[in-house]
This record gives sequence, structure tokens and C-alpha cells, in this order.
Amino acid sequence: MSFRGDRRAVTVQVGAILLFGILVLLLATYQATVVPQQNERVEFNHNVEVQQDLLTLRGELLEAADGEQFRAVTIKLGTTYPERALFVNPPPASGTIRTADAGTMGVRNVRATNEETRDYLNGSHDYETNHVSYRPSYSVYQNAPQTTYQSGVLVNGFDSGRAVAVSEQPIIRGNEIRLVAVAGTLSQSQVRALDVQPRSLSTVQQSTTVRGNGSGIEITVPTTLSEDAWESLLRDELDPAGDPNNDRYVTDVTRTGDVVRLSLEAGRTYRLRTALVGVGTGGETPQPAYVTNVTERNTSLAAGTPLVVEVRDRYNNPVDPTTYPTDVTVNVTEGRNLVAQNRTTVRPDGRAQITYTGGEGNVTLAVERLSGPESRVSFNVSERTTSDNDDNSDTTDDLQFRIDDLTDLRGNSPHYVVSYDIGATNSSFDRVEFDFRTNAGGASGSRSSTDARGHVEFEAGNGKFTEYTITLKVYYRDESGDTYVDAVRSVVDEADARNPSSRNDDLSEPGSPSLDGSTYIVDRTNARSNRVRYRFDYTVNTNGNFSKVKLGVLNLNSNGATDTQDAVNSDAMVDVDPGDGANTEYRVTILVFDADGVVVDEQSRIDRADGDANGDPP
Amino acid sequence: MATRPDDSNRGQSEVVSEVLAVAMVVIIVTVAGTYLMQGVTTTDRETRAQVILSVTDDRIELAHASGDAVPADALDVVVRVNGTDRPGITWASGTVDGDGDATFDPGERWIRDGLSVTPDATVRVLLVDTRTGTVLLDRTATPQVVS
Repeated sequence: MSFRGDRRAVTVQVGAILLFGILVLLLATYQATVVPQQNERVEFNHNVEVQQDLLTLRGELLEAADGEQFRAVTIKLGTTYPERALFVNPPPASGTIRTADAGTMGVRNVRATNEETRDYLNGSHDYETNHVSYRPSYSVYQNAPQTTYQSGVLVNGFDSGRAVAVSEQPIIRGNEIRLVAVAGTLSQSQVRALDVQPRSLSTVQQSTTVRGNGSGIEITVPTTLSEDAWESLLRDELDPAGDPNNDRYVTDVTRTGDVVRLSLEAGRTYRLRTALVGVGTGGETPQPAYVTNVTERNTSLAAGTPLVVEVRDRYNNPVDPTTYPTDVTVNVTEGRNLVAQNRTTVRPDGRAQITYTGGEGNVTLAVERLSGPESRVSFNVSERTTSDNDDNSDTTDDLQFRIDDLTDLRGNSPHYVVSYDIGATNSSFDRVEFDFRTNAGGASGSRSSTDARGHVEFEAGNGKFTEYTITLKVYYRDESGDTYVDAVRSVVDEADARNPSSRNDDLSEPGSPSLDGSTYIVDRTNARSNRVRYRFDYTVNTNGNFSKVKLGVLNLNSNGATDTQDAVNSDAMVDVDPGDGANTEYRVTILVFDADGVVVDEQSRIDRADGDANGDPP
Repeated sequence: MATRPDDSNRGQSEVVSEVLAVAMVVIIVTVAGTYLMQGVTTTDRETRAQVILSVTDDRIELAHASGDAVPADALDVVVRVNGTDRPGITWASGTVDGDGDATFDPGERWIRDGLSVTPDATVRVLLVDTRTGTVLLDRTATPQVVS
């Protein structure tokens, strides 16, 4: 065969051109079909990731409400597409996060059990709140949801009008009502990630005990979720029959307009926790709204004992006067002859105190900037009879103590560790008495110690969620050998496995043992077998002044087991396995005791027992 | 001396160039085609959907949180309690809280009551789109107790 005479050479070029044509066609097809499909996958995956970021933001918002340590949350608002050599990508996808006025959340028919608190907290209370929503702007994935933080619930909403919850609800758990309002303005649209840092504007220090005002309490929350979706969210809280013998309290769920109404069982006691959290710019610390008593109102006192009141904002949390331009002042408007001062200012913990000097009668303290019955607290006091005191009588300031609430809620067993330090003593010092008293059906009791510095423990067989008045009295002996009360301090705390953090004194001293920074508590719960387990990997810098640590795994909603253990090693890894209770809320804590037996350091956190070692919001 | 007609040495270059041209095109098309077809074949036809499972002692709920709508008749749900199949639980045996059409759309929830398991049971739920063979969900859960 010879090529020389061949005249069909042109077919080679035609073939080559055809092949190139096919190549171009393939390239065009790839650009038109494959590239969008791959980009849609990128967008879908990004959307799932950003929902995870928003779940983290939700957790931080709820933790900020409780005054826990909070941090900025990074939200990847947009995404970029993979680099392509021959093909063209659309511009990077962006996303928008913003706040929007959602109306009000609130409680109706509510009545505080404390008479002074009831001057304000009685009837209906509404709290304006914002929703925080994220909407992506994708090139291909067109039916991506708008993800919104709505009153504690993260919701995916669609253009069709349907909405589905992608988180649990924190609003009602057992008899705890938790409303966290959001203030501030946030509006940001970009491809890059954005840091959002929630900040607490009104922090829950402890819950307020309330009951229904005639009929049952109702909670109203703005929402886009359907009534059925809410019933599903509240499934383990629903009790339509209102059975008084279980820990479920929601009797009805009704959605009207954009508001869902949760009706709670009448005749039951609830713990109300309301807070305000800010995001973005704006959002102001709420002003004082009312004052309530800390010291009992009708009481017999030793001279020198302070009468203590607490000034609260409309969220029932103590105000921090350092956030206001001027002091918050409390005046004595009645009984000035019975107290040492006529006026005082509120401390950063929201409390103010006037020293009782003796005598009998009424003492009324009124907040200067408020009016009406909620502006004042009246005490009816009488002097407690004691022997003459030839020593410096007012040592109240030297009496310091802290309370660690380790209550086993499911076991209905209040458990307190009270550490104290009465300061310098002399040979006349006799003892310290501790009185744990409740008038709400729980078990009361007392303890005593002859040490000037130490701790006592109190455990009772019943009385969870009741308010305990814990009173410390320091006794001295006079020359005739009779004892007298030298100092008294008392505090009211609900036996709910949460510390009264606002009023715990720091009892550490130079040379006290402390937890090393390498200490951590890991959730090792096996959710599949419903076994709660936390690993405490701790190191104590003993300074030669260490006695033990106490490890606590404390269920917070009566729906899981609780356990506490003592360990005397200063450097150890200990697993605490209380039993069942996976996927419920726990407070895990490690307390460090010095050689005197005083709690001088602690590490605590609230965590869902779900086996997530990194921790997560409740 | 007469020149022989086949003395030309240009023929070799034609042949070589033709062979090279064909080879070059074949190589380019093969490489590009392989690359492109690889993209086409690996570009999944899978269903992209985010499905959230919640299990209590008496119900299973699947919420379509985002992604593609899936025809209801293509969905197959398999439930195993403590390793044993519950053949009575099928997609058709549950109810969909949604717009009532024949697709499982984003924002809709599938609910199957009457599960009846003990609190310590392990419940494994698989949800499959049989059109594409995509496993949309394969989770094991311990039921929350509500009764």
C-alpha cells in the first residue's frame, strides 16, 4: 500500500475537527451539568455546616443567660467553590444573618410565692424579643432553608411556609420555665465567616418560685412552628390529664397567629428563669423594677445583724448597679431608730443591707428610683435576747461562707455542703451552728461545729425544689459561761442542684490548694445503653494544704441519676457513673477542700449527658 | 539518469504527521473524555436530604430538615429494635404532617405511632431513597420515655 497516491488525506483533518468538536461539546456539557451538580453538593454541605454553627450559637445564647462562660461563635456565612482549571464557577456564595423583631414572649397567670416578690411578679409579664435568622444566597441550591433562632428553638423555615425544629426546646423542662429574650441589632451579609458574641444583659442567678394565679400558668412564645410540631417538641413534657403525680406539667398547646401558648398544670409550683441576652449592637441592661427581701421579713435578730434586700430588674434577676450611670440607692423610710444607717447603695450583686441595731418595730427599705408597693420591703423585727456582749459584737463581716448545692433531685434528697470561715477568734469562741430550715414540706435539720474554719454537710430525705433558709450562727461564751450569738448570716436557696452563685464567698487563702489548668471533665456517657458517665481528669496544686476533692454528677431535671464521690488523691482520673439519665441535663462539678475542710476551688459546668466529649449546651 | 518516481522522501513526513495528528487527537480526546466522564460518572445522582430522627417509647418521627424532596413511594423505612426487624413499620404505615401530596418535602414530618419499646431498647432506623439507592438516614437511638 502506498500513501503517495492517496487523495483522501483530508478526512484526517475532518476527523480531527470532529473529534475536537466532540471535545468542545463534552466540555460544554460538563460546564452546564456537572459543574452545577458539584457546586450544589458544596452548597448543601455548607448549609448543613452552618446549621451546626447556628446550633452552637443557640447554645451560647442560652448559656449567656445563665451567666456561664461564653465565647464568640464563628458562623461561616458563605462558601467558595472548588478551583477549576478549565471551567467556570459562579461567584462565592454569601449568606445573611440578621435579627428581626419577633414580638413578645411572656408568662400569664403567674404569682410569685414570696410575698415581696409578688408585689411585682403577679399576673402577666411580657418580654420583647428578637429572632436571629440566617439565609444563604446560593447559586444552585435554591430551596435551602432560612434557619432561625426562635426563643431557644432553632427552626428551619421554607418558602412553602413549612417549618421544622432542628433543636430541642428549652422553655419548659419539668417544673422549670426558661425564657431567654434576645435584644440588639445584627445585620451582616458576607462570604467570610462572622464572629457573633452573645452577652448577658440580665443574668439568671437563681430561679424565682411561682405558682398559678388562680388558673394555671400560660407561657406564650412567638414561633413559626406548627402546633403539631410544638406538641412533638414537648412530647416528654405533655400531661393533658394534669396528673399531679408525675414530672410533666404541660396540659395544652395552642397556636394562635404567630404565637404558641403552653398551658401548665394549675396548683403546682414552678421555677421561673427569665433572662435577656444581647447580640450585635444595641440592647441595654434593664433598669431596676422591684425590690424583695433576702432576710426573713418577720424575724427576731441579734443586734448587728444586717437586713438584706435584693433589687431586681423586670427579668427577676439582681441588678448590677455598675452598669448604670448613677448608684441605685435604698432609703430607710420607716424604723430609722432601729437601724444604723438611713440609706445605702446597692452592691454589684444587686443587694443592699442596713445594720439592725436593736429594738422592736417595722423597718421599711425603699428603692429611691422606684414607686409603688414593689419599691419597698418592710421588716417586722424584734431583738433576740442574748447575754451581754463584752466583745466586739459586729463580726458579721468576718463570717464568710459558701454553699454547694449537691441535691439529688430524682432521689428527692437535698444535699448541701456549707463551708465557712468565721475569721479570728479568741478563747471565748464556743461553736458555729448551722440551721437548714424549710417551710415547704421538706426536711429541716441542724449541724454544729467547734472549728473556726471548716465545713458541714446536710442531707435530707425529701425537699427537692423547696427553698431552704440556711442560717449560720457564731456562738461565744461570756464571763459567766453563758453563750451568746456573736454573728448571724443566713441565705435562702432552692434545693435544685444549682449553687446560689451570687452570694458564695471566696474562702481561698494564700497557699490554698487549687485546680491545675490541665483539669478537665469529659462526658463519656453511653447514650445507647443509657449510662451516664463523666471522667474527671484533675490535678490539684496542693501547696501542702489539701484534704480531698468531691466530684459531683448532678442531674438537673429529676430525670436521671445523681452521684457524688470523694477522692483523696491530688492527681487522678476518676470516672463517676451515677446510672441512667443519658441525654438529660447535668451539672458536673469538682470541689477542692483544703486541710481545714473548706471548699477553696471548684470547676463546674452544665452539660447534656450525651457522650459528646467536647460538651454542649443544655 | 532518470529520477525514480518513488525517490521522494516527503511521503514519510505525511505519514508521520498524519499518525501524529491522529495520535494527538486520540490522546487529547481520551484524556479529556476520561476526565470529563469521570466527573459525569462520579457526580452523584444521590438524594441530598437532611433528616432528623427522634424516638420515644411509642413513636418514631422523621423530620425533613432540608434538601431534596423525595417521592413518598420511593421511600423505604426499616426499623430494628434490639437487632430485630419490625416489618410492620413501613413508610406507608406512618402519617406525614405536611401538604398531603405524594412527596416528602423539606419541612414535613413523618410520624409512626405505636412503636412500643422499652426505655433501654436500641432502635435503629434506616431511611432509603430507592430511586437513587441513597441511604438518607441510618441512626441508632435510645427512646426518650414519655409514658
